[in-house]
Amino acid sequence: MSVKKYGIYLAFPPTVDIRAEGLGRYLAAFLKASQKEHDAHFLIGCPSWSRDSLILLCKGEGIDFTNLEFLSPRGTPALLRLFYLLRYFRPSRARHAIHLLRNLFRYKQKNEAPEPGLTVLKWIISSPSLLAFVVLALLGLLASPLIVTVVLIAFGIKLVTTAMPYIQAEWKKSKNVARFKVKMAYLLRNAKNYDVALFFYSIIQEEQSKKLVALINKRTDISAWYAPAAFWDEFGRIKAPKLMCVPDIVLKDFPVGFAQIGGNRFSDSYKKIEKAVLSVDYLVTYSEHIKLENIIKYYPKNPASIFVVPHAPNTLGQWLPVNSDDLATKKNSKELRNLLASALTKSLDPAYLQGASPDFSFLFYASQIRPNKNVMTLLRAYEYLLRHNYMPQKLIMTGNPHSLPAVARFIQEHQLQKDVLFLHGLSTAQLATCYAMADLAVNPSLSEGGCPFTFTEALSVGTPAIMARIPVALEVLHDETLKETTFFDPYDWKDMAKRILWALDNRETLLSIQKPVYEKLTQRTWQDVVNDHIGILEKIANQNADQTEDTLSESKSS
Amino acid sequence: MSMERPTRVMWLLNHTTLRQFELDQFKRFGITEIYLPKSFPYDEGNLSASVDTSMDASLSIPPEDLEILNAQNWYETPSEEAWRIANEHFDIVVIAFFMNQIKAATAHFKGAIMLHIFGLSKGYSYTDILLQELGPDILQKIHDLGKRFWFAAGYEYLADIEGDVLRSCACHLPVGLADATLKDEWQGSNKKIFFVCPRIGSSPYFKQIYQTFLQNFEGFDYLIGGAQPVSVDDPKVLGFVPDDVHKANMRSCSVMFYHSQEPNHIHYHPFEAIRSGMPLIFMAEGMLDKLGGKDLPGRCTSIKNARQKIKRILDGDQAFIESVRSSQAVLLSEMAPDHCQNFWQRSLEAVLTNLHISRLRARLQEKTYPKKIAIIIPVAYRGGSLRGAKLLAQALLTGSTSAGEEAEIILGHLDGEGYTYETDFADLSPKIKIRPYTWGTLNRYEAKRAMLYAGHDHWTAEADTYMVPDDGIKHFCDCDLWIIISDRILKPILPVRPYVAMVYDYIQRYIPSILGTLSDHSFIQAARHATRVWVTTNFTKSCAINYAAISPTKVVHVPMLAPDFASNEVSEPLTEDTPPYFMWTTNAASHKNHLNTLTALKQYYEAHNGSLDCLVTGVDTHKVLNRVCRQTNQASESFAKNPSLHKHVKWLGELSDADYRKKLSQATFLCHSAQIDNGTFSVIEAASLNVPALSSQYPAMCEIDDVFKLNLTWMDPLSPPDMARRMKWMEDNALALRQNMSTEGIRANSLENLALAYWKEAKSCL
Repeated sequence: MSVKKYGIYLAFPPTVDIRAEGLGRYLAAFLKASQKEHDAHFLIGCPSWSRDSLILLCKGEGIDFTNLEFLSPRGTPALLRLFYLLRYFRPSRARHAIHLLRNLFRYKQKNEAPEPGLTVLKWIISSPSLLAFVVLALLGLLASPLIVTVVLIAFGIKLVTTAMPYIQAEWKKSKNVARFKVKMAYLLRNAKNYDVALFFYSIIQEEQSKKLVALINKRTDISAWYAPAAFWDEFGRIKAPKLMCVPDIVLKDFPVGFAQIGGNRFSDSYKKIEKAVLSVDYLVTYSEHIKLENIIKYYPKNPASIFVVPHAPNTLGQWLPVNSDDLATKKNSKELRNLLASALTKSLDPAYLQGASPDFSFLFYASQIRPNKNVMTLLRAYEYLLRHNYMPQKLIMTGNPHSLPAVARFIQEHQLQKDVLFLHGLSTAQLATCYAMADLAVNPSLSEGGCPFTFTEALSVGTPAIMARIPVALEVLHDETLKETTFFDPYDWKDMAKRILWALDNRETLLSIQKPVYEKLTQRTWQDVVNDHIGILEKIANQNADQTEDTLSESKSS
Repeated sequence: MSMERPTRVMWLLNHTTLRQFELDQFKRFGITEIYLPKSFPYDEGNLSASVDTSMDASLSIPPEDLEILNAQNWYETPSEEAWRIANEHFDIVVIAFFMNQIKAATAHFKGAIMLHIFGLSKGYSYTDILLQELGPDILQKIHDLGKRFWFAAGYEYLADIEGDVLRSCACHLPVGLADATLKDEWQGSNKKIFFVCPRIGSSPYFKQIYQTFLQNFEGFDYLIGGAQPVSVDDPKVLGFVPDDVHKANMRSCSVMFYHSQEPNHIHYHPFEAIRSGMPLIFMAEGMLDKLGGKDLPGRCTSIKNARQKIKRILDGDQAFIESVRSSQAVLLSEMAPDHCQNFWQRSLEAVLTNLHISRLRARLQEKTYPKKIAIIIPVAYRGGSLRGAKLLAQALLTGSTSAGEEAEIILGHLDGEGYTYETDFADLSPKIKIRPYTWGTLNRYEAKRAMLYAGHDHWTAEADTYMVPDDGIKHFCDCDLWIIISDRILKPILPVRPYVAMVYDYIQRYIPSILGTLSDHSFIQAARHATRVWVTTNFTKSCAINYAAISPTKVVHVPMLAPDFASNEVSEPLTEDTPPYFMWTTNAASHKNHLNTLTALKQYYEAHNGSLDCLVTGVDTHKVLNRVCRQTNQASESFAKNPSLHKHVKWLGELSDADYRKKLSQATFLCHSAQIDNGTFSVIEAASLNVPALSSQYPAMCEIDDVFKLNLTWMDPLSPPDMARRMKWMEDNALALRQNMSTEGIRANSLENLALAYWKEAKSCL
């Protein structure tokens, strides 16, 4: 049997560390499993700047990257190299300078990307050579149509007239050349979360993606391409059969919450997702619910071309020195207590936890603080249980409460700072320990792409979990007794509080109900996930071949 | 496309020439069952229209259904039954650029909708006109219909100048002629220019064209064709002529001149001329250029050029005539059915394939979740308004249950305003979920993003700030409909979900001081922007339309929901030895008419020797005397120390419900003396306890009396003497009134009986 080649398309923006991305973990599991596959070979098409990051990801996850084949445009754009160079500066007092550029470009509230007049500028910016960058800039200026020249001159005048007062002011404040240079450098280097940088990044990324797609389209040996995310709209321009994963379109379900965070960065991503969903023929989701409620409901897609491949469970037991279903055993483990103590050092309020014993009991919810995570309802339920039912447990979460001002405000208004703890940037072992040492894992999330990992992550270290009754969870967890004991109404904090109380009072019973379901779920592996994807890629590649053959025979006969 | 039946089309146009061609195209594609409308508006947009019944025989649908379809005016608002039939039997509707037709089809038809368009004058686009005529909602609607809506352009490039929405759903349905074969019928013996220009007397646009023609071709003889609804004082303007006369003119006139330089629109008559063999002289830069006319000898770059060419034809320059006639056939080939067929087939295939997908999608969506309706109390109401909100919640729950349609009802209240479940919501069904919230605000950019994410791509923010209820969960976006109790909204509500404003009254129209320094501008705006405005009286409906200037189509009169007073039994019945009194139920609000009532009471005791005490109850009634004092600039003592009032008027303040009912049940009568409002249910409560009531006569109270059959006794709230007289009359006749009282009207208007009506109204907003 011949080995089929498939491509994985990645288009992370510059400077993104894939290891730190949620998708990175998924990708690692996917790549690891794919290496065991003998009938299929995967090639990775990605921007030049992502290769190093991918190799680091492989190293970290124990994936043999020497066997991985990469396809990327040559070189790194000059402007990006400039950013990299400037990365090594460590200046302070740079906020003024960031505001300076913000004011110069005023890109923040614009919804549209720069228009065709900037084509030459885009070309120059994305040039891979510093020398070429300079030469092309000059040539581009000379060769561009009059209107572009006028735009550039106007842009220059604007830059000078607007910037000069700021630059003069900064110069005066800086007092010496070195400090001034550092300040300006910081502005350029550390602005990746700012609109100005996003503007340049988007141009660089767009141009690099075009080159990448052009390279991909030359590779006729690749049967089909797979994109594990939906926000890379250039993927739609690949000519070979392509399958795109749409984990969810969560902004649709929480329009107000997400409108208040993320600014235009989110809305730009949202537009890209919509564009990609409409332009790619074959999609894959993690759940039937997302297929129906996020895609079919809103987009004119053929249901038959949307596939569902559920996740394999995530387990954490392998990260622990001691694993047991018995809480007391775990609490008595010195290693686990040490690990928990180290996790507590990641608290956003280290002062309170300084010298604190890790022997307190707690509920645990591992998640970012996002509008879809329903943290406010959990806090309401927790506050009620704490203050009205005298429940002794603390609540530990892993996000940053300031990501959603309402969460931080609730904590402050109700003075819960010492009972609701936020641990940020936990290692996998620390995360596993938190799960293991918790009395109960609680997941109130209203919306996920697939069944929340909370269930298998908690059960894998002997901790029961209760979760929001949401469709994606019900798709996987359908045992009747389990449903009755595990789920609560996520819109009703009283119901959540009731379920927490019950679960704490009946911890062993709950564990005994959940454990057999967990065991069953673990029969599905990431290898199965990869195989499912290969099956789909093969199917769409064959369909495409059939269609091409039909077209050829039609044209021959006519 | 149904597997069980043939594909059917509703061609909802009446254009005669177009019909002949397009029916043929459908038949070539294999669609033979086509419905044609049997009436059309006799307006200037339909001068070339006619009715054709010939296709009815081809339709294999029940005759009674066809009869219903034939009775409709498909250019306006066909009945729901007609749309039901359309949805049951048909797959495609073809409509033209008639606003009501577009609105109705997009709202009701579940198959594919093809908006067939033929181009506009330069500078106009269909997108702009739709926005102007129907507002941004229509583009959103079209966007939401996805691949069920098609911008079927008669000329391919027409979509190029349109906005994203229409451009993204464009398909090409070329305009053609059923018979595009050249006929050598032309004789040209009548040395005249044939110019077609309809509606000269009624359209400034065509009048201008007519006058320009006369000016440009002075000295030439001419005939002007085209229907003229208003006659024109020019014997050469023919007006409507039968088809054979029209054809005869085509044969006999020497030349046709076609003036139009519109790049996006063309008429049929130049093609008719070409078909008959008549030489066509036409102006450059128009659509004929795009159809292959750029090198034709009949093309003119100036009027001078046109005059020269026409003169050559009229002078009998045979070589030139033949060169024009032989070359112009190329224009006709674009209109030939065979030429158009490929485009039609491709478009119809796309339409039906996508319809099939849409139906597959719809089938998958059939498994629906229970509808969620949020009743949002926008300010910290208590008393009647809170009770009203709870009644509404209960009515919707009961209504949905009795309709067999599961619905979840959520009652949203302001967080941190002292509401407790035990005291405020314990009487509600446990199925009604209580959800605390606070009002959040979004700036215009956040608002735009929120609307974008919610699927309203084309929404634009008109205000700087928008309000949204923040429940800390999903901003109530899990609910399909918001019903906001009252219009007391200080900033526009973000329309991320449809919302109903429940407006009880516009007292400020009659008592402007009631709002103090507050303006009701935002309240009115909130109601205007609502999907619907619910009112419980015709009086408030009238105010909503005439005072708040809300579109009458939005204002819906829903039944009055009264609490079930009958279930609150009073243990102690009226006894002979009870000291005689009547009750005045009021509160401190200014519309409660305190000054007139106190004046009337004074007269009742002093002039009419009234013997009944007056027990005053209600929220903040201790403030009443102060208010009256401020109103009259008198010392409140003048009332408080008045011996009669002092002796007979007892200020009880706010009583518990149980105490209030006990007192009321023993009263001789109830006095409701407000000047104006949306009516009070206290008279219903009194009637349920068999206590008659004396009420101010104003529209809302009259409606309550009428609906609940209360047999109220009326007084004029603006006339203290009349009020005093009526009080005395009630004192004398209360017992007799009591014997004739009935609770039949109250029972007939129970929540159980009205719940379904509420549910239906709510459902219509989903």
